Amino acid sequence: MSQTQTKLLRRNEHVESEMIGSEWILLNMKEHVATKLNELGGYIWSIIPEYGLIDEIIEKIAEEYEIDRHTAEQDVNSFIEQLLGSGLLKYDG
Amino acid sequence: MFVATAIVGKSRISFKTQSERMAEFVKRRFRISNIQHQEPQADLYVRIQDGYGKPFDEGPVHISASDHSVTFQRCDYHMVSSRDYSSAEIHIYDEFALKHALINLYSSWLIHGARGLLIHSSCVIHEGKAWMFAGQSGAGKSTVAELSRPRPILSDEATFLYIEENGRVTVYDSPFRSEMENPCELEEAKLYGIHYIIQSPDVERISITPLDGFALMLDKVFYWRHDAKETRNMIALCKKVVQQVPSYQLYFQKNDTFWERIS
Repeated sequence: MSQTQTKLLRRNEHVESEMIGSEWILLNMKEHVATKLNELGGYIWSIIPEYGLIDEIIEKIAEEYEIDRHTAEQDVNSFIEQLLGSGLLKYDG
Repeated sequence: MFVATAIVGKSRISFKTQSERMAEFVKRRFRISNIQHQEPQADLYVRIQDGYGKPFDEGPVHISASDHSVTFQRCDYHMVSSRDYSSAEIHIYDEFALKHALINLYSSWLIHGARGLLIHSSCVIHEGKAWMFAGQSGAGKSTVAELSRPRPILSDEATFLYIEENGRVTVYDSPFRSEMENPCELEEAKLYGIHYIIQSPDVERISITPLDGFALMLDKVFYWRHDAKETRNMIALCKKVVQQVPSYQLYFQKNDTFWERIS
């Protein structure tokens, strides 16, 4: 198991998020950038406070969207990487 | 000493100044309820002194806060307000500086109390309904207002949105004007739509989602970030507005045919 899989993911403090209608938007208050999430992204964002481990998120997505674990893993990993890369998410500690 | 109370939406601003030039500016731009020597009851108290600084040089506003006050500093003005933005002492260079300082103060006061927003846009009344036209500098906000005459113009630069207790979004006549100095013949109207305008060879009006409207609105608000709590208030107010009022993208030619698409 890689180190990242045992670390808790957290929303960055300088990010405000809003759900409007059924869509999520993330506001990076430091860099003044708004990021709109697709439905899956919005769902992942919404469960991160509760499911902080990537493995937990993958499991939850596979279950909720009734998709196989491999597809869920690909979707979740690429989304989390993007959010980590743009400073919207971080690892705890 | 010039002492006057101006009515802006549902609020009253008390002005005091010894400068004749600034008194003239206030009388021209604001709805003055009465001119008297006693300081009347008001929501905001503003003292103005001229003779400060130099002409605006495109430089930024620096904002700093202490426990008791907030200081707004630009090359053409220096303003110190109370933490709730309800009273301020403004030292200014000219009328342009005063307008900017007042926009800054009034916007901060609105957001602090979750009352409403000032938004970079023009707003026009058509058949009793208020319609807003927002865009970046040069997008054509004041052009749209100009092309809409003789319809009543509530704003040509900074639209004053007020969120009523029942959630209704009302546009009040804005004293923060660019070219069209005179107050509007009507004091307010309910907001029916927000247009983000784009000059184009075609005329088209496209409905956008509240979320897309929200994303477009955020950087049109007259607000200079200086306090995380105030920023969250501003975001919450934008959200309320886009949930109440439909947003559109409006492609327009430089004539008034876009009104055929608005209803």
